[in-house]
This record gives sequence, structure tokens and C-alpha cells, in this order.
Amino acid sequence: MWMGDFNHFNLLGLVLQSVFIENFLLVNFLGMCTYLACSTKLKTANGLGIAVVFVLTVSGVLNWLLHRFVTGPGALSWLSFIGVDAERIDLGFLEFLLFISVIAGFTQILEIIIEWASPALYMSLGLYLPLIAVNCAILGACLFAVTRDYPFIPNLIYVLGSALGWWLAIALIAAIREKLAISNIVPGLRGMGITFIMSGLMSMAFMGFTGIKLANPAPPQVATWGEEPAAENEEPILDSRDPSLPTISFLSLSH
Amino acid sequence: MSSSKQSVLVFFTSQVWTNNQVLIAILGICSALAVTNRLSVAITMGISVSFVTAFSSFFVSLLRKYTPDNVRMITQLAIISVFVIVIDQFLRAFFFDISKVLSVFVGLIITNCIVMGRTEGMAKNVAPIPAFLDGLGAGTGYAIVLIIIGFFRELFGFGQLFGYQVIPLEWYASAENPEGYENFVLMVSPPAAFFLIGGLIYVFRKLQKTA
Amino acid sequence: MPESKRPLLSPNQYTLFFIICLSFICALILSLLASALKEPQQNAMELDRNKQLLIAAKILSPYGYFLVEDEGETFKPAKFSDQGYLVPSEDKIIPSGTEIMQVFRRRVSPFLVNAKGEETTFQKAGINEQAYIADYKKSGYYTQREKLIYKIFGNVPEGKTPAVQGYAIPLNGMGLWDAIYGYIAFKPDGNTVIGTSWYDQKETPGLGANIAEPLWQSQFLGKQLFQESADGKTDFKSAPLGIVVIKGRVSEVLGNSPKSHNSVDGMAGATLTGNGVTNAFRDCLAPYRPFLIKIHRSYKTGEGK
Repeated sequence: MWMGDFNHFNLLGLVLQSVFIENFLLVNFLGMCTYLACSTKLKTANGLGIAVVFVLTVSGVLNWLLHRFVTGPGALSWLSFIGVDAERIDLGFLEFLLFISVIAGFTQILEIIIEWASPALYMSLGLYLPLIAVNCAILGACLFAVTRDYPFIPNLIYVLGSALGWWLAIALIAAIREKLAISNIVPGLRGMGITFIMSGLMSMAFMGFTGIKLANPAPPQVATWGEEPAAENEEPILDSRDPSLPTISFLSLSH
Repeated sequence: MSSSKQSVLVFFTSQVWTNNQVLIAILGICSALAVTNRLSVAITMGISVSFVTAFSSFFVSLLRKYTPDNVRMITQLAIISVFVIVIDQFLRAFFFDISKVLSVFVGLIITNCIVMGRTEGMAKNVAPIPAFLDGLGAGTGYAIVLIIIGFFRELFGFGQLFGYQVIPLEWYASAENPEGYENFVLMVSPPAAFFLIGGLIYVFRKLQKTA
Repeated sequence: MPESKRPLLSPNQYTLFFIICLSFICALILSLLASALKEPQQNAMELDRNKQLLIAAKILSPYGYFLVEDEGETFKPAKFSDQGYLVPSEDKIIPSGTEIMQVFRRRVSPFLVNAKGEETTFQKAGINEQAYIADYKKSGYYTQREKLIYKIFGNVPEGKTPAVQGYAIPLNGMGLWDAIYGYIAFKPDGNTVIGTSWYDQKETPGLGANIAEPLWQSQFLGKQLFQESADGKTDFKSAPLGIVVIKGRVSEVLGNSPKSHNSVDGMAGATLTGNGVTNAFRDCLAPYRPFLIKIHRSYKTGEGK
């Protein structure tokens, strides 16, 4: 549950994958709206980015727990310790609703805490928090992480990396937009038009990262097939896995 | 009587043309870029968003006098989520192939800025029927943009429309015809969507200026 | 006594009451909907999986209509007639989901083989079929002690006993982005391929996702699972097992050499997905080798009669 079949090298690969290769903004296109419609300065972009990193990482973890213990397949089996057999109950249809509630709720609580703890921080950051609750990237990252079935630590790394990648992309676009604002652009394309074209070019640049495959647990060595058949008297089947295959499973529990 | 009907329809048409959510207000971009690879998927997404926006606006407007102000946002989110889940369950039961392609993007309709934009911006201030039409118009405007983008991407990226081969197979490069046509594969990947929308914004603005 | 103007609930209490009502109503609506749609959803999933197996076995065309075999390894459109027997038809009729399921149940039968190549059924092995299929979809049926395989029966009218037309093995692999799942169907000689399909893949559309396109899949017909050695003979015990997706076109790179019989064209710009497919074949077919050798031997002795 914690690390699954991932080793530390895989985690590094996962960071690279979520920050660069599958950059949330430039490859998966999530989180553009809030950004495009309201900020053209690097400073605001950084503010947004930091807020997203924080909210996404914590929500990602909370939603993983939610998926694991409430809405995922077979998730309610922990109820068996109070005597209720709830393993076959499938609450998956509530997932969207619960996820977005967690995100919105956490954002609200965070806003209250920041306002109470540090008014100065609230002045600079607090305005973005309501916007972030409805940021596609947050819900998207939580949902993607859940479809991929990562164990706990890889999930944490994945949401953290996605948020960092989002921040990176936002900062890059804002920096370019600051320069574009004083450039000589075709009148029809000024503002949004050129921003899109520029984002497209950046997206192409990020495509150059495709193919770096460090993130997935190693595939097994090819099962060697010897001349001798398997032992005549086998033990009763306690574990249904074929004993002649290596123990690292191809598609681990995490995938 | 006819004048009130006129003004109510304005809610619909303004959302489709003058205030098109994607090209003028620049909202709902995320999904417009990600699911427009194929026309069938783009249309499904457009219809889903229209459905969700229209009905969420309707119910938010219905409840607007009873909703306490400090839980306004979460109420809107809850109502939107319910309709999105309805769409998701429905797709998975009856249009399984398309739901496989859309996968998590159906869920992302919840955070689609268009939906929230309409409920927060319009629905809580007006009566249910105008709110419904406003939402429907916003969704329709969005769907039209998606269809245009999907059309170009599928045609040039795959040579097909709705899965039917439109560019004749004989034109394609092969062992006998090395100089033949090849699909413009970039169209299928993310950057092309950016370029197309940038271009569409340009065209749309020109059309609006001269209209 | 409260004044007549004081509201029933304080603002906070009202908020709480409102939220509770809202949550309850939302949950109620969704639960009702989910339970009503649960069966259609599961049917849709099962139908999708089974359709892909039928596509691999060339019983269903990727474009939706049934197929029957014609002379010389070609296939022509067919339609559903009584109880699932397929007759040739002029038009390409798209069958309904129930018809597809009926044909599937009639012509495809799942069973299990173990590492020694011995067959058994789910019943004899004491394994629940539904649970087995759901539980090991991700980790791969080939990793289990009892491995899933399907027998494909021929198209015969009601009342006649069909012969075994082929077998299908489920495949698991890792593409560029995520796991890929598919089927490979082959003839009773344990070597010649009928077809393949990939029903669950999240590869790059236009590039790696071509593995799900009919055009790329059509080149699998007639390929061999076991690699021929240079002298044209195949040593089933030691030859590499599995179709290889090469870089470039088979006709240019391998011509008509023995290796070309178990290779297919690569996809430009999708080398890694192609490698994933090659690895999937290699890893998933290896545990079935004893069984393949067994059926090849019995096919040979059957032919010699």
C-alpha cells in the first residue's frame, strides 16, 4: 500500500514524468481557464502556482485515502472489523462528488487558516484560493492518480510533481506574456490569439520529453522454460500464482 | 407577450454568438483542447456540457432564494456534480466506447469554467427559465467550437470523419507510392489544438467586427 | 414565548439544515441512478471485451458486422440467423448487443491450462469464473497457476457439433503511457495467427493508438507465433515465441525470410508502443508454450491420418 512495487528510481522517474513529460498544463491541458482569463504577470502566476502546489498535494493525498477507504472497488472492506460485510458495496459513483467536496472544503479551511495565521500571506495569496477550488488541474490530477492505482508514496509524488509542473508551465507562459504585451503583434491576434499560439509552441517543446520511461516498475525477466516439467506433486494451492514465474509481477499492484 | 419571449431567447443567442464562452470569454478551454481528437468524442462532450450547464443553471436558479450565501459555491458544485455523474453513468451504460475515450474528462466537466461561470454569473440572479436557456446557449456555443476543432483535427490528423475514411486510401504513401499523402499527425497532438483555437479566435473577432 | 417575527432557525442552523438536505437528496438521486444502471454498465463492459475477442477471431469485423470465412483466407460479411449461426449476407448489417453475446456464448468457451499444458475447466479447478476474470485482468492471467484461454468453435447450424476453429489468449502489456490489453487468436495448429485486437489502450492517438486500428491489425492474419529457423523448420521447444513489431516495414527489412513470418510492420513515431506490443506477446505467450506444443502435436497427428 505504501510503495507497492516502486523503487526509488521509479519515484525519480515519476517526478520527471509528472513535471515534464505529462505536464498538466501543456500536455493534458488542465488548468488553463483560471490562468488565461485573469493573469498576465509573472508575480500573479507565481502566487497561483504556489497555492496550487499546496492545495493539490494535500487534496491529492486526502482523495487517495478517500478512494482507498470509501469509494474505490472493495474499499469498504475495513468495515469488517466492526462486523459489517461491505466488501461488495461499490460507491464509485459518488467519487466525483466527494472529490470535489474535499477539494472545495480543504480550500475553504486553508483560507480560514491563512487569514487567521498570517494576514500578510492572506493578502498576497488568499485571493487565489477560491479560484483554485475550481481549477481543472486539481480535480484532474486527483482523478488521473486514482485511475492509475498508485500506492501511497508514488501517489504523493505524482500529485506533487503535477503541481510543480503546472507551476513551471504557468510561470513560463506568464514570463513570455509579459514580453508579448509590448511586442508588435498582428491586431487580430493580440492578447488571447497569440497566447494560444505561443502555448502551442511550448507544448511542442515539451513533447520532446516523451519516451523517458523511468516511472514504471521493472518488467520481469522472461520466464525461462526448461526441459523438466513442473514437480509431480504440487502443494495445495494457497497462492494461485504460477510458481515458475519470477515473483516481480509485470503489472504491479500499482498499475 | 411576444416581446418577453424575444427577450428570453436573447439569453440563448447571446451565449452562442456575442458572448461565446470559448472564443470570447475564453473559458472551458481545457476540455476543448483535450477531447477534440475525434469528431464523435467532441460532439459527445459538447452535448454533455450543454446538458450539465443547462440543468445546473436551472436548479441553481430554482434554489437561489433558499441558498445561504456562505455555502453558495459548494451548493453549485454539488448540483453540478450530480448532473455530471448522471452523464457519466449514462455514458458508461449505453455508449461504452466513447466513455472509454473520454474517461476522466467527463468528471472534469465539474470544474469546467463554463459551467461554474454560468451558475455563478447568471443563474443565481435570474429566474429558472432564462437561466436554463442561458446555460443551454453557453453549452451550444461551446459545442459548436468543439465541432469545428474536432472536424479539422480528425480530418487532417486521421483522414477520417466520424471514423469513416474521407481522404481516399489510394492517396496515401505506400511501398508503391512513396511520395503519397501522409496524415498530418501533429493535428492529433496537443499543440495543434492550441494553434486551431488561436486561429479561431482571430477569425471570430474579425467576423464580429464586420457583422 | 418567541415573537412572531423571529425565524424558525438561526442562520447557522439553517445552513446546516440546508446542506444536510442537499447532500441527502443528491446522494439519493445518485444511488438510485447507479443501481438502476449497474447492470447495463456491466453488460456494456462484458460486451466490449467479448467483441474484441470476436474481432481477433475474425468472427466480427472491426467495423461492426459479422464475418464468415470465404475461400482462401478471406472473409465476407455475414448476418445473424437462428440461434447464432452466421449466414453470408450481401449487406453489412450491424448486429445488436444481444446477438453478439449469443454468438459469443455459442462459439467461444473459456477454459484453463497450467504450466504443463494440461487443460481443465473453471468448475473442476474450483475457481469462480467471474471473480477470476475481474481479479487478474490487471496483473495478467498468464501469471496465474491456471491460465485463461478460450476455445473458438466453428460456425455450424443448430444441432451439428462444431469443430474447434482456433484458440484465443488474452494479452497484457505496457505501452508508452499505460497498460494495454488485447487478444491473440490462432488456429488449432498452435502456430498460425487468425488475428489480434487491443481493447484497452491509452496510447498516443494517431501514433501508438494505431495498434487498435483495423489497418494495422489486418497484417496479423497468417503470421506465425513461433519463429522459423533459417532452414524453414520450426523447433517448437526452443524457438522464440511471439510476434515481433519491427522498425520499418517487414517487406523492406525482412523480405520473405523465415523471420518475416512472425514479424509485423512497425509504426512510424510509435516505436515504444510497438516494443510494448512485442514484449506483451513474448511475456504472455511464454507460459502457454507447453499447451501450444501439445495442440500442435495433436494437430499434426490428426493431419497425418
